[in-house]
Amino acid sequence: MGKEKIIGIDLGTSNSEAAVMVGGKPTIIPSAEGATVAGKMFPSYVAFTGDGQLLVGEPARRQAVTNPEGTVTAAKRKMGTHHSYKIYGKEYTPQQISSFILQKIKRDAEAFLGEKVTKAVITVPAYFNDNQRTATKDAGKIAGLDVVRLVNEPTAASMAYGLDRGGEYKILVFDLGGGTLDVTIMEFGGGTFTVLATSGDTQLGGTDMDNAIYEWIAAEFRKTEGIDLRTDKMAVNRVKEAAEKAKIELSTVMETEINLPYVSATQAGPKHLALKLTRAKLEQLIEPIIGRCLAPFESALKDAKLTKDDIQKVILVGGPTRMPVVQKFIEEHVGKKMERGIDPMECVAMGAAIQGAILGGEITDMVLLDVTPLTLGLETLGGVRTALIDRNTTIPTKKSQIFSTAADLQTSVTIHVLQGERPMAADNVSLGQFNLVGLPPAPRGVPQVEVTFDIDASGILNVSAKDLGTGKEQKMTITASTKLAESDVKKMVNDAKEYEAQDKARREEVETRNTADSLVYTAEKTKSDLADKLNADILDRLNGAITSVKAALEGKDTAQITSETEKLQKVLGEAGSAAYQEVSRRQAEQQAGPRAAPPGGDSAGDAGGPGDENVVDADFKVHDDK
Amino acid sequence: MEDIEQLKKELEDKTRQAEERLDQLKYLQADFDNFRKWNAKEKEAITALANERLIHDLLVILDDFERALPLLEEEKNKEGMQMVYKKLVKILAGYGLEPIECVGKKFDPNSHEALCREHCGEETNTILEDLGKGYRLKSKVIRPSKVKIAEQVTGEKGD
Repeated sequence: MGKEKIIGIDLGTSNSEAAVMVGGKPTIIPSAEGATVAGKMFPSYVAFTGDGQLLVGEPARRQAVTNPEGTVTAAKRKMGTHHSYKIYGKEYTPQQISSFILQKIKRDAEAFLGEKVTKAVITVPAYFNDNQRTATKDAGKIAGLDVVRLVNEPTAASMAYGLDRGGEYKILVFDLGGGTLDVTIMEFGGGTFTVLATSGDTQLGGTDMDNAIYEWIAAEFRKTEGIDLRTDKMAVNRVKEAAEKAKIELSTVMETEINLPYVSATQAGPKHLALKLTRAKLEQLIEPIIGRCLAPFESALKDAKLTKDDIQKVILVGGPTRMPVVQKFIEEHVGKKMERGIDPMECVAMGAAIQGAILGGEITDMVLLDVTPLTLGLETLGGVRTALIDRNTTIPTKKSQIFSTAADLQTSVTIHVLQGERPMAADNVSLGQFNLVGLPPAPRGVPQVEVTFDIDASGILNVSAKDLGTGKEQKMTITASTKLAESDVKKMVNDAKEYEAQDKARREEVETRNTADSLVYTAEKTKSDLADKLNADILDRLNGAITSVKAALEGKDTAQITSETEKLQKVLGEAGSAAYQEVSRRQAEQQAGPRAAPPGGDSAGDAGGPGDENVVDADFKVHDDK
Repeated sequence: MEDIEQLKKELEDKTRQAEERLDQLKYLQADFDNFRKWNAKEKEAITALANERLIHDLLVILDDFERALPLLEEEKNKEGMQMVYKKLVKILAGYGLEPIECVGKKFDPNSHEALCREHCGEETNTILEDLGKGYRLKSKVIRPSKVKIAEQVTGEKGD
């Protein structure tokens, strides 16, 4: 609103991608052809048909085989040269070809955002020279886009990972795409990225891997069936698609099945292709391709006059870097310092979108939002941690909840502020505590204490507790709630996962005890309230049940507490209905109309049951002040 | 007097600052509101897309049926399988799935993907063979047809 959005474009050799900041987050702009057909990407294809039609992106790719003379791809490789594409008698510069792709992206971005787009940040390889950069800018101009800045692809990828927010480090960006490998070593410091060295291989990428798998499938089929699938266009297409799919699947599973029923036929009948491909086999197949990554990698380090130990951050870009074998390769040659969490195919475009937002003034210090790294809560009855603000909540934020007392006539409550992911108070970090005193004496559960957690934009936590009855208030300020070392946060989150089952059991135990304790309290209260309306039998059973629950509470057998609690609940219910029956009986006697007893008598008694349960539900009692 | 001037200036500064902040806040609020609307739209799109993905992935089953059915020899087996196949087609059609027409039509890269071409007497760009059935879901192409197209041999253009 108000400010115009600046989109980020990753103008690639075989595929392009675009992103824009939406609601403070970089978001990929899908191509109009949609997500299932071509992914969200824009294939970097431009074509002119015989009848003079211009095709861009996915449709252009689809007709490339049959219209090679009219189709241009990988124009990026020719940017900044005097190359000229002659198509059906007309000539086009690489800039013009690229501008068609940019125009299509602009159009789809406008459809996606529902507003005009005239400004963009475009990424270029770090090794692009002045001519190539100027040509890229010109392509933008021709497409009607004001290119507010060109950003190096590895820089954009680093920005997507937030590496531009301070610190000083050497970064290695390993960009393995469909058809090219780019290795860049950069230095970040004083707010700028400096390229130290680049290296690469312009004919190495995921497509080579797909081909290796395809060849293997075809060879296997020939071995078992004696048929060469490579002569059958339809089969070739199916096998190639299956090969790519298997490659992608094997990044997450250890083994996949390639199933192509009716892939071919002989006199003897139809032939099916069913092959198992394990990750190990895949890695063996593509080993030579991975091996080819080593030389560019080493030469980049050498040119930068660095060793692998000098590298502090590693960023992976491109679909094939999702493969465990590629990651293993990096780990072996640099060590385990890979940045994770962003789709490697999207991070360049996302970084460009972030740069766009910074240039457009959309990101200022004021909106650089932080989050709470850990859950903030307080200790409640039985040593339970009750969460008020969950981890990863964007700050500033404010949350209130009403608590009550755990004992009759309790005149003060302790607010014990906790930070951490564990359900039991004692396992979390204590940030401090204070007492709210001077509550008017009242039965437990009656006082209403409103506890508010308020974290301001700089991460300072203000905790206040207010007795809604008297208006008495007590406050505390905690300054260190969001400033924790990353390793501490990780440890606490991991601990929570590790002890999850154990913690859950303990918490349930405490809750069972709390419920039992609360029910005993209710039962005793009911007993004294209804004493004159209950007969000796019920009173006896009630007393018995109360004693049993109390006895069970002395011990540690949770199952026993549960079963005794249930028994007491039942007796209590009976006592309730008995009391109501007694009341209506007496009313009936008094009114001398013996038949006038309302038929609702019984159901009123039943209603007492659930009512009691409401009182029992004592989840949110503030820990008793001892 | 100087003090008053000073204070006046300070007040002006603060007022301007406050206005600026309020302005920023309004923008932020508007931004948030727009984001909420955008989000709702996005959610709708995601729901639609989720179906699209599922149906797209199910297309291979349709393909397999279509390859298997003509080859089934025993008539009684065939009949049962036909019924299962028809049911699947009907359900998917209910969601808006329809096959893309191709053989005999003119090649259109918006719905067809050309795998190869053949020199023949047919007019150039006529689709000769359907090598992989394509589908539209509610008029959106979710899988283009894979086709073989004609290239007329009149000796005018080379290979």
